[in-house]
Amino acid sequence: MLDYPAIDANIAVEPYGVSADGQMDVPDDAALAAWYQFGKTPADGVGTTVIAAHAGSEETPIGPLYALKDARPGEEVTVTDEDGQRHQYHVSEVQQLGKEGLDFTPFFERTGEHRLVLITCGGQWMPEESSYADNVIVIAEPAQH
Amino acid sequence: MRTSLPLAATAALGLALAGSAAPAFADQHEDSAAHLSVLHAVPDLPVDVYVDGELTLDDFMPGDLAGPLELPAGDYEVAITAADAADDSEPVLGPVSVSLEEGMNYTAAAHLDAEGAPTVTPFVNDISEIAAGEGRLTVRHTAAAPEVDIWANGEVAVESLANPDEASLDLPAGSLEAAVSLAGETDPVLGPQSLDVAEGSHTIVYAWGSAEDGNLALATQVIDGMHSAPDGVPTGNVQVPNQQSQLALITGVGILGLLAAGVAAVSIRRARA
Repeated sequence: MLDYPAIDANIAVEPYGVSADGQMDVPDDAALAAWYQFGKTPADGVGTTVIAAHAGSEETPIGPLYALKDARPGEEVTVTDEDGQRHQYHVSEVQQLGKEGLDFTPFFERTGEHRLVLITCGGQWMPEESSYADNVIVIAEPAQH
Repeated sequence: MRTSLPLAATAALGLALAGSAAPAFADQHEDSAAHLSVLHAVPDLPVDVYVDGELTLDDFMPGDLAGPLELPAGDYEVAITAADAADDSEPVLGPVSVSLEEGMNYTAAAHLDAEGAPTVTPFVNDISEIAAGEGRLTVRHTAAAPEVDIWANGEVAVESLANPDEASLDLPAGSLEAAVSLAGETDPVLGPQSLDVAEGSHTIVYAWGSAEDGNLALATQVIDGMHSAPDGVPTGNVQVPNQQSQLALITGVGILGLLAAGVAAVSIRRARA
């Protein structure tokens, strides 16, 4: 479960992998988020935990993570893992990057300092491709206790 | 030419081997280093392994895998003796010269050849990047046995693999049921057994032992850290309605009338489908 009060986002999270086309597999319904199961969990304390959801879908026209475009550094995000453990983060960076040719390597790290990476889509809607032009990527660092 | 190991490397070698697998050494990515693992796949023969005259593996048992050791690139002389030998002056195998290039990953396997005589094969392990969601699987024939077929999930995946050849492929991560039969036959001489191919990792399976002596077995080596990021994160295939587009729709209704509004609604539904 991902809880991001400042943008009013509260969304269930399930493990997902990779689609046949080599892209991250994301549930069709924007009301459900995918955790990249080949990456790290919050409890691992290393590398990135990647959580992604559709901006919108048939069932859920405005998905909870659509509001990631309004995210601001310093805001608090909480991930509750499957063991019921709560992991608190503070947003450190909000990026909006063109999907075309975007290298996701920096966001799917399995070593280095632990970070939470939230991804959805945004920017210009491109009707001819039935897709948004950009990915909205929010990076959060573990809160210090 | 005989290259002697720098003192630090010799110490690291002994330490890493004493602790069997030492992941700490694998995590140090020095550009000039090579990684070497050693597999003992000669049945019934505990041995000592000497590298450049230094005892590096004491009482190394059949089926054991040591390493990976991080070594400076260069040439090394490897000799294998009986486990109770005083030094490497009377090797049962070798000495063989092993040339390690920087950035490369090797497994030196002591095993039987097809006829049952002990030999050493230096295998090069493919550590190139693996596509997201996939794992790499390699099968190596290091057994005293004729050519074999490798089965995956009930079908022949590799035909007529001969000692000391290997076959490799990248496939979706997950588990599969693996078996080995003599070439052209269907009855397994090994397996079937479940085999886990982890994402971003290279899983190497060795068929070793002797068919004649009835001690064929599988040994597995896993090298991780070759994962890559997905090609994309497709999270926006449906346009999110916002106030601006609703306004445009209302304006459109006003100008073009009901018929046009109907067409617009249909086309929007198509775009979201």
